[in-house]
Amino acid sequence: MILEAKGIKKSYGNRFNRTEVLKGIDLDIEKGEFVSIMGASGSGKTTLLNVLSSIDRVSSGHIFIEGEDITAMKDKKLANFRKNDLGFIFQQYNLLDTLTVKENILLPLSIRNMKKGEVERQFETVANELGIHELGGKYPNEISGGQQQRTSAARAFVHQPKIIFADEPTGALDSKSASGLLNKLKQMNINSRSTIVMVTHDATAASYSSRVIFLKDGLVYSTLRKGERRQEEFYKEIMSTQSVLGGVGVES
Amino acid sequence: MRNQFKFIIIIALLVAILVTHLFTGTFSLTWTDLLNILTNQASADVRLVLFEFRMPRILVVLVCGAALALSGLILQVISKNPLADPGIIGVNAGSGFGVVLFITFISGSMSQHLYALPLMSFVGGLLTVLIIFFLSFIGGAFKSNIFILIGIATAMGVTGFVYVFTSVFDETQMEMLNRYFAGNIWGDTWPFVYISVPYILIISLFVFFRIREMGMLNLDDEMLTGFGMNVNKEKIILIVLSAMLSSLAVSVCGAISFIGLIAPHISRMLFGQNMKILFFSSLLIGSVLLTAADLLGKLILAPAIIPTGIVVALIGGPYFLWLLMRARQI
Ligand SMILES: Nc1ncnc2c1ncn2[C@@H]1O[C@H](COP(=O)(O)OP(=O)(O)O)[C@@H](O)[C@H]1O
Ligand SMILES: [Mg+2]
Repeated sequence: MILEAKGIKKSYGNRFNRTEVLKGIDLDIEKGEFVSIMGASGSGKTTLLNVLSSIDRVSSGHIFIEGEDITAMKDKKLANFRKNDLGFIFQQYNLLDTLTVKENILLPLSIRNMKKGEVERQFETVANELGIHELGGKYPNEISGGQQQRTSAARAFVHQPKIIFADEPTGALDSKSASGLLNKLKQMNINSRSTIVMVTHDATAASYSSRVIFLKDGLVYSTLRKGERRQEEFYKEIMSTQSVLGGVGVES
Repeated sequence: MRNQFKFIIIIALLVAILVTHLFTGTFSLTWTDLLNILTNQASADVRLVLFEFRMPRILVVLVCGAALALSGLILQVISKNPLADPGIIGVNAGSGFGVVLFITFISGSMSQHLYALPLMSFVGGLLTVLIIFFLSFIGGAFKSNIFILIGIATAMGVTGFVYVFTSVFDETQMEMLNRYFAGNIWGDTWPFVYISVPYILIISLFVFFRIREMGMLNLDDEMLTGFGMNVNKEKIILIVLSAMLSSLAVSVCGAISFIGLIAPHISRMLFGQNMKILFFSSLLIGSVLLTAADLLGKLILAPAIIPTGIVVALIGGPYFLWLLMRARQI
């Protein structure tokens, strides 16, 4: 078990005006799993991802990563933990225009002291796996959206984190670039046994994962496992669950 | 290559302004005077004008222009808003309030309290920004755009307060205050150089070591948090540095706005987004702008002198409007 969440609650607002977004969520994620989190817009997917990844604090409950309770960690230790053990991909590519693709990918490594050869090797590995090696010297505004998001994914993987958290990584991509990225993510998941937790409202994107968790009204509504099925069958089941849930593919 | 070329032009421009500044004024100097200075044969008059009047003023204006520009650049980076300026968020109003308190409660002429006035101005500016800063934490996380809005509101409120005080001012007191708000470079003697320039340089050095973080602040806060950066702490450090820079500058120069807005903006147009280049070009362009405004104020209506802050506002106001209109179009 790489990630274990127990009774996660999260509310926003002040004493007078409180909204509880997460109302008690339990989940377990195994090492090497590729998990999707789905739900209607505003159902708390981003909130859940942010607390699981320690970007935000829970209101109550506990989150264990490799047995260690991150809800009890001090800020400094938490920051170190995020830096070393987690990788992030967001809907916005979040690349620095002033850096080349390669420099952007190496950003997480440039923060720590690492040998040059080692840095170079890490870059080669992820850039090749994500098919952007020859773009290394270009700047973000010289490449396509799909390539930018693969750059962003390479940056998330480059320091070999234990878990990758992705929030709507395909949200800004056309369907071809999206499937390109998802194939790469899946490949990375299989080849390097990296654990991926992805928020999406897109059933196609979710069908690339091995398990889908549906959120509704701040609780886990249901869980689907792909098992040995083909991707198309899994997709159909996701679609039908989504239509029962309501809010099919609508996201602001 | 092209960037180096641009830098050379800016530096040449700055040198030209500084040299003109040295030689012109009520008592103009000639090349012979300069030669005499260099060979140590100059008359006492010439030496007095050059070393006691012109040099300290030029140094103060040069360094304060750079400080205001850097202060603006920092605010723009953390608020992700290219229109942020230390004057807009209450530094000038707060400093003005410090000045008003000084005028109200400390009687006597300025020369008796050489340091008290800039000190109160500095404390006023810094305190105002810090208060705004803590107010913007209300409701949980620090939000830079809220910070700017609260800053603008507080600036207005504090300015109102200032005018309440002025209702009991006599003519001399009023004149002192107006001198501050017009951005008269009042601190143009060596003692003011000593109390401002070294600190501005030291603070700028601190900022220099955070250029990397400033560049990264372009990314979303979540991403930076993911990188292990303590985003709030980083912003707090930068805001404090920025507030210190601008408070120091206005405490010896008087209320000067727009430099912090315009200098980084011109820098971006000339050099793009690279933070290291922006750091140095903003410093230089800030110096160019303030020394040029000071020079113009001295020359346009000579022998009358237009306060530097007014010259800056006359140029900066339309520039700011032009920026706003352009932002609308995009
Ligand atoms: N920082 C915040 N402050 C207050 N309310 C928030 C905040 N972030 C999210 N919310 C609210 O929490 C709910 C869930 O948001 P979110 O997790 O972003 O949903 P999703 O990602 O599923 O669309 C929404 O109603 C949203 O308005
Ligand atoms: Mg979301």
